[in-house]
Amino acid sequence: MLSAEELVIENLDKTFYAGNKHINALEQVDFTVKRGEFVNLIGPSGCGKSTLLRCIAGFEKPTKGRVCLNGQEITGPGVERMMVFQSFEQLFPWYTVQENIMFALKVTAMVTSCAERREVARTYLEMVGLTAFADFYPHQLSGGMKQRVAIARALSVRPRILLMDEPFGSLDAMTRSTLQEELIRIWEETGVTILFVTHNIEEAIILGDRIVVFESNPGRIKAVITNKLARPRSPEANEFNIIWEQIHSLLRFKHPEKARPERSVTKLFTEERKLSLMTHL
Amino acid sequence: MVKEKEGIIHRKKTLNQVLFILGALIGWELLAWTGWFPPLLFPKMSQVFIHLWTELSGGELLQRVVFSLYIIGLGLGLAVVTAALVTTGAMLSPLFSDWVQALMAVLHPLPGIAVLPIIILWLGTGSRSIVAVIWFSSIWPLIANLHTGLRSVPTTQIEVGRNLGLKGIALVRSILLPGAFPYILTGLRVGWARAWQASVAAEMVFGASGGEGGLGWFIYKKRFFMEIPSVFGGMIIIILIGLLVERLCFEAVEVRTVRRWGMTSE
Repeated sequence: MLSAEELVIENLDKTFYAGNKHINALEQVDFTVKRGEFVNLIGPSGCGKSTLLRCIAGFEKPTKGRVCLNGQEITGPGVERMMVFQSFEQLFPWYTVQENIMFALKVTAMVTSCAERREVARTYLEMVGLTAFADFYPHQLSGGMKQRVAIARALSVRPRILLMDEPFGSLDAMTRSTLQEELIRIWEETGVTILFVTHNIEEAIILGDRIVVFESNPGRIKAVITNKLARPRSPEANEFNIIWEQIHSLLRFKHPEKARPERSVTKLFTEERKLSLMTHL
Repeated sequence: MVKEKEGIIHRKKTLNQVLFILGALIGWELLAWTGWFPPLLFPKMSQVFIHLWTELSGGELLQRVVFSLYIIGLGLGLAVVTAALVTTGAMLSPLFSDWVQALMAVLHPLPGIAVLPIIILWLGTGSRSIVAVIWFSSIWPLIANLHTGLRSVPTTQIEVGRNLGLKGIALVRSILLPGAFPYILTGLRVGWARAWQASVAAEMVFGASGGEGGLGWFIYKKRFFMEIPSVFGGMIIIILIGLLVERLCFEAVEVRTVRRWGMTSE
């Protein structure tokens, strides 16, 4: 292990041009993720959090700045950065659940023999508790099951980092909370680094070691909150509510000083807290 | 349980339909027996089947069937290849895509048979002209469906493919083509139907040179000699081939692919 800094995002700008208009989706985004860390990105819609994830995945090219994984600059999509999408359409409908995973193993040349691929696929299906559904086609699965398969498929090719773009965003509250628990278990089992975009404050607090709060127009990091709550986390805990309110006020007000920050809260979470609007303070 | 019940309902429906067709044939037979219509123009159904049997055992009809299928296969095959090339071009170049769309908008409404006179002038009255008409009739639905099909593949699936390191031909082959398959199948179905229509229609205009010809030519010739039962016989053969191809090819493929994958809109 050379350095604990797995993912480094340096001075990243992303501008979209539409005709003669341009939109600063991301501006001066600067932050790092440590190996094995679980980081949540949260912000209002249109704040560029998904764009950032897509820049890391290599689907978008940054306008300025760069993204490095394990010391290597990212220039395009790669199997060491697997994305899990929100859409239930991310599985290939013409393959069964097992074949979806086997296909990923085949095209990435992770496993050469077909029998071995079947074995590996089984292992990952077991991890998400879907061995009984191995021979089902995606259209026969519920939304939650589809997302589990997508997670299993992404992990099967052994990525260094898992990029999750609101994967539970279209699920009902019950399924969502079960999957959150399972994701934490899988994360602890595999030790994979996870970057997780959400717009749900509760989800961010339940999952993340750190929560990066974005503001929109332009999309910038507003604050980074370290979340040291003991796992498993429950929304009933007092500290949970403190963090919730802190994020809530960060999201609601453009200028943090107007958000009436409580002294105790800021003291609790100052160490990683970084305000891009320093000049206003 | 549900599957069984569906099966029973389905079988009942098929039985109903078969009985209806049989009833219609018997009705025809009875109507012909009354003698209200001239038997030369309205033959008995029994007569039609007797003639059909003679033609089949004589071997000529079978030869016509083989010729028809061969020429349709040739025209449709060429159309599929052209459609694939054109669509690839349209995917690679937006300019070319605009041209193809313009061409489709202009030429799609034109029935294949309408270009026959000019094709006869260009290529003569041989089977080449028939192949050309079949090609022209079936290519537009093929291009349209292939194009729509490729565009219907969800971006997410393409991105998963790219994430796994696929690009270029590999991405097209393993993600875009299977994703577009429901549309491709529809295109082939429509293309096949159009090809049949075109071949029969074209052969009725000029037959075929050197005594070679397909089912259209067969019907045309029989009408010329006023062998009306054989004219109906030829029509029955066309219907049967249509049914067989639909059931044995298209439906069989559909059940094993699109329906199993849940990629139908029903």
